[in-house]
Amino acid sequence: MTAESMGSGLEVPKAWYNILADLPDYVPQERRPPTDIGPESDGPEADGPVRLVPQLPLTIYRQSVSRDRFIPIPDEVLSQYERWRPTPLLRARAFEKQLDTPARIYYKHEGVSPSGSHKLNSALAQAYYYHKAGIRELTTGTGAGQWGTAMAMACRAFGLTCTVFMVRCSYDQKPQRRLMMELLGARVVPSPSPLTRSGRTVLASSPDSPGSLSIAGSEGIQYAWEDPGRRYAAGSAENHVLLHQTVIGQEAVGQMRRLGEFPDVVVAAIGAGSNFAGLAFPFFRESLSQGRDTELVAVEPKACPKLTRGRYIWDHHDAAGSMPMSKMYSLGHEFVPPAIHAGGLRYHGAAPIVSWMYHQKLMSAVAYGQREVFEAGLAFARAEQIIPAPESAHAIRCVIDKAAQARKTGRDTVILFSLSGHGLMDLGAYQQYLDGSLPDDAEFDDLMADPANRLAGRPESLG
Amino acid sequence: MAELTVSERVKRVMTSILDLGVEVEGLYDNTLLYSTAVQLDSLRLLHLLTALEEEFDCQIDDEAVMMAELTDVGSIVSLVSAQLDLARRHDSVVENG
Repeated sequence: MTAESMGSGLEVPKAWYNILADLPDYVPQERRPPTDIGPESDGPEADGPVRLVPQLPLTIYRQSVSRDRFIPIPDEVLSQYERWRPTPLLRARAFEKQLDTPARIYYKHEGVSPSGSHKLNSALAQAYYYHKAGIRELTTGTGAGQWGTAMAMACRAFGLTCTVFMVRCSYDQKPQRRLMMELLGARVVPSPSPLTRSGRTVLASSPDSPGSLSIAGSEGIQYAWEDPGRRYAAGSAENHVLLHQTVIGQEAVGQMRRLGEFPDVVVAAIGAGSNFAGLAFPFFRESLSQGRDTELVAVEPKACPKLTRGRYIWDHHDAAGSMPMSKMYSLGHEFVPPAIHAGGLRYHGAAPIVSWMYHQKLMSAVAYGQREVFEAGLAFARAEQIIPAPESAHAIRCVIDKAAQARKTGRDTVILFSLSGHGLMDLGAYQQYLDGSLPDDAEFDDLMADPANRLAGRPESLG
Repeated sequence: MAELTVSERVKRVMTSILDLGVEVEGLYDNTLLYSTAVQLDSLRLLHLLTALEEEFDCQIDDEAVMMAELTDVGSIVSLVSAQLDLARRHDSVVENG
């Protein structure tokens, strides 16, 4: 570690930071449309007394609607965090030199977690609460596998069984990621699968479907309905997930303070928003309290541009519409994004809080194509000798642009980005990039041509 | 004026929080939670339970909610009553401690 790297000697935050306490206005909460009240679709029939089954432990629900600025982290979760947190904050000096920029570039390295990404921060918290609520098994959906791996690990930590519906294209692209989950004791099912009604419906109309996070989510929730001791745990867009991830940014605030630095720009890739929120939200609070003007930038793939090309509408979180609706920037919950390697970013919508902030212009967003992202990832790997996950490489691509701007203007700029995960399970994708066979977004044009048409008629309000 | 029973207070919170189109008197213990009168789903249930926590100044246990057979209005009343009994017993143990 260099003098600018921080990690040891700092404490893990004792509470999560809840941005809802600091947002100036009301963020619409998730709800079911008035036309859709009753037993959850695909659930039990409505004749006779039907048992109402909450998916979330009440404690997690309380967290998701709380207006308390800080929510204490239970000791059991904290002691798990302390296995690898605080994660290091590093300065990318070699990368700066390579980019010939006056900007100082820092990154928060979440790839050092046992699961290899930031996802474990929320997985552990959720597994703890579900275990405490008497649940025996958790199901979930995963894209590239970071969330699934984190859930497999967290379930192991708290004695729960785990079933992961893994998006088919990632299941095929990243067999070692699947193996990692299985080694941890999870059952991994490629999605769409014949195991659920939702999967069977997709397979009937599209037998070669690459799958999507929203389909995997539907399968996870429908599979959970089959057993009273089983629940579905989500890992990206929900308020409580964003909350759990704020340990990242809180640590980074403290680490940068020790260095006498404060970022002008905070950059993070966005799938639904947990990585972005984890790093950016605590800096939003610091900027507010210090009267600073820090730019918060979410980076998405051109193949799934929910913020830059989606619409702010009420939409479901999953493909089958089994979950409630949220007001969010979305490409439509039925949208199946192209099979890019950054599987964690193949989600049709942005988290409601992030969407609201984007709508209020409290943050910005930018989209990049797959090849330019891998080019950036490779450049970073060669400079810093850390191979970034394809998701994290999106942030790096944006950092390169910000560094070039700093060179052009000569402005003293501090850039902080989230290295949300390592890319050691994504070497096949890097190999494709190196041998020139990695598809670029021009090949996805047919799929991406009509987001506006596809979204026509979607409600901007629910009355 | 007589003090409201737990059942009456639960039903009063239900009608106001869930914006039901019926009066408290029209809400029976055997009214089904999925019925057109109540139209509860799992998300609105959690919303209701947090409102009931506020009404009774108590914290409802996660496991009690997950394991409860919540089918009708009476089952919500039973859940809240059981939690209040538990809290009272806990307080009594602490006092006699």
